[in-house]
Formats: sequence, structure tokens, C-alpha cells
Amino acid sequence: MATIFDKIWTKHEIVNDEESLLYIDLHLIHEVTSPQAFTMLEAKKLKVRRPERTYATMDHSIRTDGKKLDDKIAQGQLKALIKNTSKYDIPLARQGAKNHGIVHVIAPEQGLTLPGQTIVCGDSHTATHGAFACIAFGIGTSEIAHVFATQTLWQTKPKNMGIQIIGLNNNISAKDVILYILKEYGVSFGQGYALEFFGKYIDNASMDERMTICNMAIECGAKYGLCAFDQTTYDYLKQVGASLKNIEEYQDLHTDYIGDFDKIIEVNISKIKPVITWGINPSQAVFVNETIPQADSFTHDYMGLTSGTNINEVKITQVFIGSCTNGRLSDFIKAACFLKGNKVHQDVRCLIVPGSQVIKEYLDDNGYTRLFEEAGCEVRNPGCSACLAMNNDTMPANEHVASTSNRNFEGRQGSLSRTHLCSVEMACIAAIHGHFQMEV
Amino acid sequence: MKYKVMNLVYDNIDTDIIIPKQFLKQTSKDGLGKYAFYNWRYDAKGNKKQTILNENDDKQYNVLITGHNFGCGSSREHAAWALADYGFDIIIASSFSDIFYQNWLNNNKIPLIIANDEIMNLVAEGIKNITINLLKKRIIINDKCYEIKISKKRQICLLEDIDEIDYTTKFTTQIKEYELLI
Repeated sequence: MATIFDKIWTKHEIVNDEESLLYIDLHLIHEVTSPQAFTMLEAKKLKVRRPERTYATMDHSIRTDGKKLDDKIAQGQLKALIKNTSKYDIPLARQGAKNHGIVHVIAPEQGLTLPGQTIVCGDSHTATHGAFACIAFGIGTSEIAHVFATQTLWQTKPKNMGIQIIGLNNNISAKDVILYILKEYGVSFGQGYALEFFGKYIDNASMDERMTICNMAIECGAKYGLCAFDQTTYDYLKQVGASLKNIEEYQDLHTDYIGDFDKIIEVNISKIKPVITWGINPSQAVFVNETIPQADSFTHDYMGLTSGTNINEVKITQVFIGSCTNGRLSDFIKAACFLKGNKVHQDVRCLIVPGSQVIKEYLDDNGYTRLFEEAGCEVRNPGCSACLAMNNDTMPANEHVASTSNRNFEGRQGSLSRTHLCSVEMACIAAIHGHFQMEV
Repeated sequence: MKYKVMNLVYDNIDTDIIIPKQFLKQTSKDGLGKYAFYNWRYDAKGNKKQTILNENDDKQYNVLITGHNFGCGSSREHAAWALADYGFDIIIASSFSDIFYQNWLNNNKIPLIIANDEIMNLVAEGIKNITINLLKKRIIINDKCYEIKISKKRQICLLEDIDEIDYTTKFTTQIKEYELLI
């Protein structure tokens, strides 16, 4: 009797001596956190042990507006990635190529993410892949170098927490579910745990929705978030042409017994409403049409808000729809349903940034790009874009942003930017009206 | 060793605060200390704010006392590099994010987890002396003993001043055997 997490862990454990030496099946890399790891490798005169288990993309610092990157330092980073991947024979998804996009969007889309795998990336949102019943987690650059050199990593085994999501609710999305969990339990309850999301809600959720939830495990303080393998996982893998040769093993990727968890929390979503953050960490959130609570003066001053203000009264002038949390095809189709026949409010700039080239081309070829542009949105090329604003997609100081991304930290989307994390639905409503409200 | 302590006792100090994204574009890990806590040290025009963080030009502060969930958010090891280059050797917190904890250790620096009320005591009393005993995984602060929560492997890395890659080389045979089976 074991959890999914423990089953995968045991299978990948090469050494167990207080910490475990785990074999890593798939190592995803990008331009920002890998260059120093290649330098560390070279300093030791080592090679990438398994280039065929490594896959690179450029997503964080690239421009999404089609213009040439003019930032010399960022250019250096992209050049380093091109040089290093070529030197070590690592496949690279280059900007503009069919396989290009945000690391956590393209790996599932291309069937690289498979159930039962261990997947790492120098990026904290790697838990996204856990939606496919994987152990997937973010690592630092020294750890990237370790995986390059040995295809393994030392890890302390975390405890298992089951998060059972119960109740039915047609008025909310997966983003609201994870933001609600953060609102209720805070930003550190997951420390030292792997979070398994299960229950009726997850059973009925699509892979895109499961990825949105697992993506933000890190915001709960957990490196790992995962869901069991089921028919929905199978159908997704089949659709993207992923290898199904280990299908019998995949079927064991569920937690045998609820008692296998070290801790269980039950989250009832039946009465919740769309969730919007008002502060500078993702747990500082309210339901739509609720008033902002009391907090320290620093947070209120930073956000330019006072307690007692209704979140619906906040003037939104920037909207960002995209990121590894909500930058998948279903997110944009949903956005199109909201924006069709509507206009973006005259005071609002609305950025639509697809998570991958495949999605971008689908939107172009099926009239969605035109629909968004006619509504007054700017449709961009794939990339992380305004989620962390390493490129030109920064949000202006003191302006309020409705963002489908994952972090509302101070300065995250631009110096003094004021982020309100929310679902795609809420972001569209804010784009149309210039403020949040329950219905279009 | 002489210790000078900086108190930044806030909870949830995230890695975007420790090192903002505009400083993640370089390909080396050097010199990031000058950008540590950038948004807390400089205003929007780049002028220095009045804060203890700007009183460390000679890097004399080497111990940081902070709150709960230190280093949460992004996995960027730039946060650990920036704090190390800024001058810190030891970070004392009531808890750390799991990824930052690893990153800090991977730079052979010491994280110490102690209870919140002990943190408050240390801030109130000030730190008079610190003795590190890696052989016993202990730190003695003001004559009180605290355990450093690290594994045997990490202890060896710290004691021998080697990194994990060097340590793992002795398991190369096991890795090869594993690879033959998959």
C-alpha cells in the first residue's frame, strides 16, 4: 500500500542513505537557469551524461512582440543556450519553431511528459507535469549541473499530503480552486510535503485543469503536486501521440489507500466564487465582490488599496492572459467565448500570450487571433512574457493588472506593478469592463 | 570568526524580493550581491533608500535573521548567489522554502531553522557568540545549542568542502547498473 508519489520514488531510488539518490527520466532546461550549470560542468571537465533525456527551450527572456531582442545581456543568455545545447547534442526548441513554447506547456503537448516519470527543471513551476502522475519538481542551478553530470539527484523524501477536492460548482474554474486552497491554507502549508490532488473534482477535471492546479503547488510551499493516472490522462497522451508502451505500469499510478497519506485536507468547493488576489502573496485573496481585509500597511500601500474596498471597485488597466498556469489552448478558447462580440475597455491593455507555437498557430488558423484582435487585444508569440516580465512585457508602475499567471509578488510583473491573480474568466471580464464583476 | 547580524524578520520573503528578475540575465553567478533586495534598497529612480540593507558596503553582515517561509517562490539559485555575495554565511529562519534550502546548502552555506519565539529572543537579546560544530551538526548561539538539519551526505560535503557532483561520483557503478535495467 503506497501513494503514487512513493511508488514512483521507490522505483527511481538508486541509493537510500538519509537522502535518496533518484534517477531522473527527463530534464527540461531553459535559458535563464542553465548557463551557470554548463559552466560548473565544464569546470569539472564533465559532459552531459544523457543528452537524449534533456530538452531545452527558450521562454523566459525572449520577446513576444515579434521584434528583435535588443537587450545585450539577455542575448548573451540565448546565445549561451544555443552554444551549449549544440555542444552537448541537446534538442532545443528555438523561437518560431513548431516545437517552441513555455517549458511546462510544450513538454506535455509533445508527449515528453509521461506518467511515472521523474521530471526536473530549473523552474519552480515544474510540478505542472505532476498532473500526469509524475514526480516533477523545480531545482536550483547546482542541481541542474548535478543532473547534467549524473542524470540523478539527491533528495530528501517528503511526506505525502492528500488534498481531497469535493463538491460541485459550475461557476468556477481550476484556477479558482487552487487560489481558494491558497486563500484558506496559506503559502507554506505544503512545506516538506508532496501534494496529491484527488476527489470528485479532479476525476472530472481535464488535463489542462489538473495542470493549472499542480502548477501552483509551489505557491502552497510544496515542490511537488500530482494527480493519479486515469482515463483522462490516457486520452490526452493518446491524442498527443505519446508513448503508451508502459500502459500497464501507468495503471498502478494511483494511491492505494487513503490512509497512505501522512495528512489529508478536505476542500469543499461547492459554495465558492471566483477568487481574486488583492495582496503581494497568492494567499491574500478574496471572492469576487468581496471587500479587501485588514493587513499590514506595507501591503496595502504597495497595492494602493485600503481595507473595506470592494475588489470590484479596483480599476484594472492591464490584463495578461497566458503563462504556464493558464496559457494552454483551452484557456484561449475560453477567453474567446468571453471576448467574442465584446470590446476591451478603452482604458485597458489586454495581452494574449499563447503558451506554445502549436497553440499560437491553432489560434491563427481558426480565427481566434482575429477575434481577439477585433476585441482590442494584443496577441503575442509564445513565451513567459508578463508572468515575470523579464522581457519588454512589463506592467507599468502603480497600475492594477488582472493576471492569469501564478505570482503577485512585489515587483514581479514590473517595478511597483500591482498584480491581481485570477482565472481566465475573471481576466476577460476585467478586460471588458475595466474592473472585476461576477458576470459578463 | 566574527559575526555581524542583520535582522529582517518578515515572513514569506520571496526570491523575487531577494533578486528581482531583471538581474537574472547574466550567464555567470558573480557579483549579484549588489542587486540583493534591490527593490527594498532603491526607489523607482534608482536612488538609495534609507535601510540597513544599504549599510553593508564592506559586506560585514554575515548572519541574517528572518521569518517564516524564507526564499519562497521561484527556484532561481541567483537568490542564494546574491545573498552569499552580499556577505551572508548563515541564515536563521523559522522555516525555509524547500528549494531555497537546497540552493543555500549547495553553495556550502548554513541554514538554521529555529522556532519563532527563539527568533524573537535572538532579535531582542542580540547574538553575542556563534560556534559552528559541523561534526556534531550543531550551532551554539549565546550558549544555546541548535541542531543543523542536514543529512550525512550534506555534512560530508560541508566538512570536506566538496559539492554533490564530487560526492556522487562514488555511486557511478550503481547509476550505470540502474541505467542497464531501464
